[in-house]
Amino acid sequence: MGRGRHPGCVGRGTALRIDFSIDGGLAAFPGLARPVSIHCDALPAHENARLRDLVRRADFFALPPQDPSHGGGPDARAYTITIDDALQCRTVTVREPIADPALRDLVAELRDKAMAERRAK
Amino acid sequence: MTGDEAHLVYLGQAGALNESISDVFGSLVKQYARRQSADKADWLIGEGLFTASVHGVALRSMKAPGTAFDDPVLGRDPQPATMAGYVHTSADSGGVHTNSGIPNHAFYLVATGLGGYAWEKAGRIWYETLRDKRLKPTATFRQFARCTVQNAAHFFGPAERQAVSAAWAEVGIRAA
Repeated sequence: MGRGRHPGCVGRGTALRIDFSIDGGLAAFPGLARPVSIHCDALPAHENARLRDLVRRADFFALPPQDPSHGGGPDARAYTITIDDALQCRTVTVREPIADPALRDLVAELRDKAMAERRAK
Repeated sequence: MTGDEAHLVYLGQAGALNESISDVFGSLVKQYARRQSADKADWLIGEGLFTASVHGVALRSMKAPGTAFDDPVLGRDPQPATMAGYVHTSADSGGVHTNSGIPNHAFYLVATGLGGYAWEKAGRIWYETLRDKRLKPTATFRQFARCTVQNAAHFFGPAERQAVSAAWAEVGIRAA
């Protein structure tokens, strides 16, 4: 999807919104495959700052739509991440194992945040 | 072992066979270690992996696909036991972890239908099929099933052939 507008993109305002979904893995878990939206400005200030920093360090808006370094293989998980800030919106799909440490850190954080969101519902 | 013996494409029905065969031999190793006959085995894959907070017993059940977990966070086990519940999807490489419930259940039916230790006959038939040169990387459930029926007749006899054919018919696949 790349730089094209994702159906879930807001494209206005100042909030950073992240849509995150997981595909594949050791088993089919419908609950984990359902996309979760993370509204960064609704998070505590330090979590908001950390997430924004991880997005910046991963250079997310410069990533190709599909991670070219992906290994794939049976049971590998794929993560689809859409990030919408005030200026741009981008969707990236990355598959384990994730070679780039900064992108790996971002995915790990999003996985934790998504799990917390699911448990809160 | 699945990857070394066959080169099933990890997509759609071939991918689901890939997943199923790995479950079959994982279960057989457990049954062998416990010296369990087919009727005494739990036929669960990945039991004990969930924490106490998860509503579920395992990742999958070969005996009763679709019943392994029903949890507010993970969702409900989506595996079908028969072709009537086959899931058409692009997710998870075409539902490889979902539709594997169908060949998984067929193996359970063969093993319990033949009785005794599952690794002696049912396991041998599946392993010979995995090594069978007729098994193509893009094999469908039906092509795999036909191969198991032929190998049951070749390595055992008419009774085993009939048991394998009947098991596939029960999950909705005509293999004879």
